[in-house]
Amino acid sequence: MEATESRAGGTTTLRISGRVDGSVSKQLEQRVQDIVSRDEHVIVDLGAMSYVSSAGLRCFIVLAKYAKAKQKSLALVALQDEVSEIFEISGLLNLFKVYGTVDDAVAALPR
Amino acid sequence: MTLSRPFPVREGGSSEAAPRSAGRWLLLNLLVLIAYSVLGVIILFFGIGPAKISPIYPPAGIAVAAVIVLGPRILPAVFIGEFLNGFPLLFLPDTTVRMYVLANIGVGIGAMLEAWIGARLLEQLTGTWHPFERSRDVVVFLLGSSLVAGLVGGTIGSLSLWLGGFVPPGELRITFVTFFLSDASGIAVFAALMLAWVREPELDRTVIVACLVGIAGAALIAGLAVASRFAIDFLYLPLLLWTAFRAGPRGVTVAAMAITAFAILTTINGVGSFVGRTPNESILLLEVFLAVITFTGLLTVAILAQRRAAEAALEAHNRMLEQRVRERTAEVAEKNRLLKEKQARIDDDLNTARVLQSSILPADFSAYRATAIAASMRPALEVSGDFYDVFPLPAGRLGLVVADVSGKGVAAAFFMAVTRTLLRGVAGECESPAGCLVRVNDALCRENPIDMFVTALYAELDEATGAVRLVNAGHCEPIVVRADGTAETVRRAGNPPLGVTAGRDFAERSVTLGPGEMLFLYTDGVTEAVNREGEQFHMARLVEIAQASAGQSPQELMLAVIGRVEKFSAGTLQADDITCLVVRRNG
Repeated sequence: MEATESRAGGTTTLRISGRVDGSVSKQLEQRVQDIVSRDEHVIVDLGAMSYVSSAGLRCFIVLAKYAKAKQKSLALVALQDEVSEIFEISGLLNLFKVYGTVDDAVAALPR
Repeated sequence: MTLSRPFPVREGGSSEAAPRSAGRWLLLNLLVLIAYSVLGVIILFFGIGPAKISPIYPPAGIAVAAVIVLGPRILPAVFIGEFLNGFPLLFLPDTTVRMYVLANIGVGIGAMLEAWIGARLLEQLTGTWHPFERSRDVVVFLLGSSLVAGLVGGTIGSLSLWLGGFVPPGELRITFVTFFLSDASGIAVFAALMLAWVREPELDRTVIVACLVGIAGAALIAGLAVASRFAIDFLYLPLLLWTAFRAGPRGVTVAAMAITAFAILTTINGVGSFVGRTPNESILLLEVFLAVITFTGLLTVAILAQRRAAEAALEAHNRMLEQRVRERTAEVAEKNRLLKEKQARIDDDLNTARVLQSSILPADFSAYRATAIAASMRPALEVSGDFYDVFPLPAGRLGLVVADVSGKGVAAAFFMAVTRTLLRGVAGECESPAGCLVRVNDALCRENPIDMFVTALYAELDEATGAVRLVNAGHCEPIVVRADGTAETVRRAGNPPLGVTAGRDFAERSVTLGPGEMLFLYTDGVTEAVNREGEQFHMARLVEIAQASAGQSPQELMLAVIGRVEKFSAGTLQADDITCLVVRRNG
């Protein structure tokens, strides 16, 4: 897994690529928690995420709960079909705002 | 002025002297007077030249030491002693009683003033009456108590003699110098001797030996000098220093006294460095020598004492440091012990938790006639976040649960216990499995720590028909093992885990088990077990094992899975709890 972040105003976009499984979930969870506690809006770009295990999914659930508790906005964008299906059958899609592209997500941010 | 070395507290110093202390006063004065007079006679044997003038006057030292130790009340003895010590003057021709009395009253007053000033100066400037422990005190003693006091006594004494007519014309100056220097050296040698011994009167071997060696050594040097007629007076110096090192103030003052006596005696015999062209010259040379001897000796013992004091302070400091280290070490050891105790209690608690946890997992399934069941839970840590459950429900149904709490350890185990209890509590009362999970989910969402949720698979098996209604809340997909040797997974229906969002509906799936067919429930500790290359065990392998186990017992399927996972992940640390539950409908 690789994760790179870019920041503009109060919005951070985190781009995750590769496999997200039990070996990286803890580290990813901590990183996104840091971003969520710092910034108002967090966009997670999953366009290059090829695989997510159930341990990886847990990490996203924790993030969704954390963002909700902190009243921050957390959006997922560019989910690949396979990943989208995993989120779907795991009942997680409606925990997040989901957009096609980063631009769509930025456009949907409250002004 | 230091409190540790005060002047002695003198009795009878107050204005209201008790009658009892009057006798004591008389006795003390008498004793001092005797010492004064005896020494006054003895020095007659140490007189130099036809006038028999001694270069040192010991009674002056006795007087200063007596006033220092006993107080000014001793001054009458000094006056009378000094008055009487002039008795050789009576043997001079032309001496009248009137001359003698007038002159010696003056000399006596001079002696009293001298003793009082010498004592006061030491008291005022050093605060101690044992001026052998600091080099500064030695200097004050020699310059103040000895030289300045001697100057006063010498001035008054020589003037009194002159006024009495005892000084030949033109000899006032030399009379004054002799009087002054003999008093000063008397104080330097004898007051020091008295003060050193009054302070430490107890005798020990080292001191006695050092004193005897000092006296004998001085006698030997003097004897050698007389026998050889060589000026070897410099040999006194190493002897003096040796006694200083061996026996401190007491040794060095005894040696100084002995050296003084023998130096004078050899000079009287006309031998040594101090023999001058005239008796007065000899007396002056001797007095300079005595000054060097006393100054060197006393300064040496003071420096030694200072060094000892510094060493003692250093040692005390070291002892204090060692004590602190010992205390700290003990503190740390105690804390360590407490920590260990605490750790032992925690270990104990964890062990209890583990036992409790495994005890709430059912292990005996022999009561179920229509189904064969095997189950196992292997935690990655002492306590687990996984659990399985099997319980009978009304109308011939069987409740089956496999669940996995997010996180591990005590918190996960606690959450697991809550979930299990909630599910058991509602299972009998709900109209459907999905309805059960809706209630459990809402209960878990109500009060839930941020990172706690649980994926669960809950199934209800109708033992008579083999119909299974199951709800998958974000959990792994169960596997159905058919009688014909095929195996299929039951797809998820889009339900989130329990404890994530409240008010959710849950969708059900249903399958039917034919006779001999099995339902295999497990947690992701199985499919996501990792081998040394970082590869996951994966569903495909699991389905493969399931197919190969068709027609076998649940126990056999379960052991096959656990065995394969174990073999697969050999050499790695078990990362997650591994839980299996296999149910077969008997045919």
